[in-house]
Amino acid sequence: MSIDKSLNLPFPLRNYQIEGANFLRNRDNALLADEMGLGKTVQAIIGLRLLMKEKKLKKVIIVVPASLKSNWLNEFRTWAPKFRPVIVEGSKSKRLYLYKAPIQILIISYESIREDIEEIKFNQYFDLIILDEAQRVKNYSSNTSKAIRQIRSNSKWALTGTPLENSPKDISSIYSFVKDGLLTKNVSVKEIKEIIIPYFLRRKKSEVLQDLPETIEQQILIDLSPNQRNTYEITKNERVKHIGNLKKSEKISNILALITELKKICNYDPVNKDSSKIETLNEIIDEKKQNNEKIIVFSQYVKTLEKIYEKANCQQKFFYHGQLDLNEKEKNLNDFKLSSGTAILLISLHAGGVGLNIPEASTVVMFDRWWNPSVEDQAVARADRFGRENVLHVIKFLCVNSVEERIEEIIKEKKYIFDEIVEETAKKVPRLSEEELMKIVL
Amino acid sequence: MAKKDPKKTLQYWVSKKGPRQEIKIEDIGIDMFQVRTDNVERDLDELKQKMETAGTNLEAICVAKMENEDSPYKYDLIYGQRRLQAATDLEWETIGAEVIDEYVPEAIGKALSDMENSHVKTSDADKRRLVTRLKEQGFSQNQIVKDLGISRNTVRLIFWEEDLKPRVNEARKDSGVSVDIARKLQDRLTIDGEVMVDQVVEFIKKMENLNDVRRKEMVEVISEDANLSADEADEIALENTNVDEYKITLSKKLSEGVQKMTEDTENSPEMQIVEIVQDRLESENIIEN
Repeated sequence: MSIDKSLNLPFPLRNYQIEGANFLRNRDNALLADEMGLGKTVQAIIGLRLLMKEKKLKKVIIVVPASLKSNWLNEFRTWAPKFRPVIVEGSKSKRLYLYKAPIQILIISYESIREDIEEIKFNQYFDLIILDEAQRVKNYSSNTSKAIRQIRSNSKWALTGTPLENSPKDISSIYSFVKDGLLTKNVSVKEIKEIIIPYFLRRKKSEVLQDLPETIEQQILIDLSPNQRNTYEITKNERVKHIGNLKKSEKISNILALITELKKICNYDPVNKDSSKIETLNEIIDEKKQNNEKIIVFSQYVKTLEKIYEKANCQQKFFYHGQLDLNEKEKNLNDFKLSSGTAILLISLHAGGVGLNIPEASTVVMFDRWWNPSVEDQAVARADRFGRENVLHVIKFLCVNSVEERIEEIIKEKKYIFDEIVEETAKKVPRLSEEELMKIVL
Repeated sequence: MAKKDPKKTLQYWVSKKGPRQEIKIEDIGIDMFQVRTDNVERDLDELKQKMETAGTNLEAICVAKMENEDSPYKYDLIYGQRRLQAATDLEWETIGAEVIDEYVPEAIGKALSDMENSHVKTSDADKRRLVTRLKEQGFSQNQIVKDLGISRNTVRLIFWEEDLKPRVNEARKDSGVSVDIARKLQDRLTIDGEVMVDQVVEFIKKMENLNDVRRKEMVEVISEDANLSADEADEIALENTNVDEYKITLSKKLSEGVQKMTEDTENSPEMQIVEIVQDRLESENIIEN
């Protein structure tokens, strides 16, 4: 029986994904290093389910970047709905209990494991540890790497789109987790490649083109950092109270302004200078650097674009927004197209949502969400043009438990067709009532 | 509306708990019901000592058949995680458990878990969480009162509060207006299925410094004419209010209520509230001491 049927999967797996899931299932030590967008998370979950079916796993721990904990939960909901992973967070005593409790799958951030390692390194044993974004342990002597290496587990899988196979130091560090002792000092790049073959699988999009659609769409659910969450909640509570005391005529414009402000905090917390989205974007940029890919990042807000420009982990960055004059915009666009190596183009909706033709880009990141899905489609179409040679990877960020999630829900329900202008001015009458708008905030 | 399937009642599931038996600790997992994780280890050493003394006389934990056939565990814990953790720490191999040998629906398992934990902590928040969860599952007020033994008044108020618009509820809390009155206001000011939230909030704010008698009168006034502003309704309410008449009616109602609640809930948190209210009414000479 096929994997799809035996596991009752909601969608059929692609051939290379079946291969990847089986690769993991059959190995205690493995590094899955597919290019971003090929579905490493799905393959890991399916590999895990196959082992679960054989009753081989009683305790699994999945270590992920803090901003992606909810994203993993969401992937489990889709691909393994009967499993109930628990996120290890909260007070230290709660976390220490969760390690011990008979819970089959735990999801934890790198930061928490680093904090707890002293308490768990001797008395906790796992059947399997999965390391997501494993490039985080590429520095052998960092505290995170040290902590991860001390977790005791029978099997170890690492996932990364940034395998760094050409960097002996980095790959040695990752393998010191995956299979300690496999790579000794002073081995050449060529030797490394040979030694790791049994434990290493990497596919590029170009290699599995026949399995892929022309466009891969991926939604990444992002957890706000604790600081961001704090700023978000304070802003929301204070402003909701204030709105309650306003005259009816002033309310809708104030609610709309609040929604915009909360969306901006989801993008970047100006108080704590913190952004889970930028952190996630940097992970993506690192992966895309492997193939010198070009990335377009869309946001509605120029200020957000400026923050991304400041913090993005990329040498070549270009703006394209309405505050630039025509010549500057033209120059930036051409420089982006002609650049060699990875580059990002930061475009604002109003300046670059329509009319541009940028087939050179292979990745489009929707940094924040539009009210009107058709505007997103138009933005994506900038890169999805004649002349593009590779699969287009469209990534949409969505902050969980925030206005973004509520807007997404409403869009999905198709109850309303939003007018993008709704966020811009109160002079235009929105199609949502005050009560409905308030629901988005609350 | 509550579903009529007999399996939906909590009583059915409670009755499915088998007699206490010893089951292997390694067969018990925490999965679908994801029982509480806060403070599990608080005072655990004390519990361990008690358990060492009590041995197999320990109160049984409750588990259900594990629904996920791929799980390595046979049973899904419903409640008793502190006892389970203590037994694990003591390296016991088995533990006394009441087993429900069927797949228990998630909401039911969580409700059973909440019920058990509510013996330990009976906070309003716990009750609210439990009642809300069951309401979402389609349980009626009557079923919840019957199955859980929570007072009818508490269940009714939670149901009502859940039905309030968020802004109405917030204004109500800020102004110290009861759920009862806010709900009636919201009902009266619902036109063609749409709640006039601004108007309701305006009334609630107006009520902030009024006593309950005036508040109720305002509700009566707008029942007759929903187009009145809060100021207008208050003026009419003031004219309509025969203070002496209200005092007599209120006094009777309260005495009956206090008598009933005393019988039902002696020493309960509700009773303490009644006592406070009674003191206040007496001090304001609304009812005689």
